[in-house]
Amino acid sequence: MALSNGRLDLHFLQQADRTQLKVRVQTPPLRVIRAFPLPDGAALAHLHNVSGGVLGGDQLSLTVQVDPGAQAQITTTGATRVYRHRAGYPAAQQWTQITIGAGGLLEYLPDALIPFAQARFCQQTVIDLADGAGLFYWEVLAPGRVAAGERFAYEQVQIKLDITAAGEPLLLERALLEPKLRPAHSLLRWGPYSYAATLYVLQVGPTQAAWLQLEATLAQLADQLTDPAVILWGVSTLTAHGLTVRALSHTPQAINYGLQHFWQLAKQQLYQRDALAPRKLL
Amino acid sequence: MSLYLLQLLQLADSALPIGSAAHSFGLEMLASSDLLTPLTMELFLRDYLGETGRVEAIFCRLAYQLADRPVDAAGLDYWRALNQTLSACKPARESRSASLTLGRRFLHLVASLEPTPWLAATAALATNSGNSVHHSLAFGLAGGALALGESATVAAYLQQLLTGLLAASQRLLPLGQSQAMQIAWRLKPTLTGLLEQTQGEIAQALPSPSALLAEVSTVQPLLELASMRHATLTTRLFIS
Repeated sequence: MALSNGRLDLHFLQQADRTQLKVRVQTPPLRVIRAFPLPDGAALAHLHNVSGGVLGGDQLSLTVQVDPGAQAQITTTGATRVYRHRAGYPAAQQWTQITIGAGGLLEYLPDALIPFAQARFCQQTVIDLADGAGLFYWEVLAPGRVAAGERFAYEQVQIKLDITAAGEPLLLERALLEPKLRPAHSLLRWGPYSYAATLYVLQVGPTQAAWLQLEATLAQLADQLTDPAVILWGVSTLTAHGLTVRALSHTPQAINYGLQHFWQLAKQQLYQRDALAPRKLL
Repeated sequence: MSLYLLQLLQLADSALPIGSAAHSFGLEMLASSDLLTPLTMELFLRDYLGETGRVEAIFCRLAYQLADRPVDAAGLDYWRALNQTLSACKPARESRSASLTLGRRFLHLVASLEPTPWLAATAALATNSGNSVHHSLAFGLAGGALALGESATVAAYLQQLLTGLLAASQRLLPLGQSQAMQIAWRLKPTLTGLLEQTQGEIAQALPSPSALLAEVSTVQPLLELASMRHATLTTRLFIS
């Protein structure tokens, strides 16, 4: 069976008062049908993986360019299922490169990543923001096919994330998850919880004092939404230009509910307008 | 008796006045939520050393090796980049600030004791341009500047990291002194294993050890969450 080398190259550009999507490259299994205009002038694109998930050995590449002043929202049509590793093939890889031009905004809101038993997957994401650029980006990691009794049965999930502003590092995440070698239920890692989520909120421009104020505002919401029997939420400013919201949970529902509330509140605070959730979330 | 050994013992002493006793790096929150107990302490510390300890040891080694280079603009740029990179690897503000506070105080203290060119230059940089300084990097740089021995310096750094967390735990949990000493003793092989591992990793990454930094990973979401939520505790013994 041949390896799948799907590639998707999306370019969001500002024309008059609306953002348009130009699909520069798309090769199966990655696909975008078209962009949907949002009431605030942004363009919404749904990422499809027509093979239904990431197969062992797949090498997938996504490039997103958001032009200066453009506003884009990207989501997926469903959870990213990572199937078991195929012997003799490399680990499946998803490589994503995102650049956001001056004053541009990207809201990248994919569904959960679900690594099946014996899966090997590497997700590498590189994001660079120019002056005044903004980003709302979340990641949700499930422990596996819970309904099938799988929890942390994957072999390896590697998550690499670099976020920079004009080349300066703001966040470097390097997570190598190998539950059979390093138990997920360590008090350092998931403890009693099973699902993990992170929301990154960035905008190049506001002072660190402004970010600390937003951290305090979101921390109040974190307190309201935290119920240790179900979910823990925490908020922290990054070294500059942003903050991160984290959660560990027993259920995916509590994560989805909370992420929308944090996104909404942060968008209102930073952009003085509502976050427009994709209809699938409503 | 080696002068170097005595200097290293002093720099790794918990009595060094840099404020390390004021930080728990998230342990206080874990203890208050009843997740961390005397029974789970040893396993937690073993995991902590394997994740955080490994990363800090790698940075400590890189800073030690930096002291072999001349004090010039390129060297100081690399010093800045190391500190910036380590900051970007620490998403929880309180723990990041704790590392920076201890690092700055440590560097200024050692530079006042032995103003070698590297220590004087980096201390001046921290004072004049607010350059961030992490504890593991300051410790490594001091070890290199004073020629205390690379592995000995990293071992001393890891030892004070471990004893600092154990001391914090004794204030947070019903963990007796003898019990804490037994845990610290049993974790010695973990420390020596880390020394060998990080030495090998850096040797393998040569001639471009900084490329290693692009691959160094830590997985500690619960500890990071604990650090992020620490400020919500109504009564706190520790700053972090």
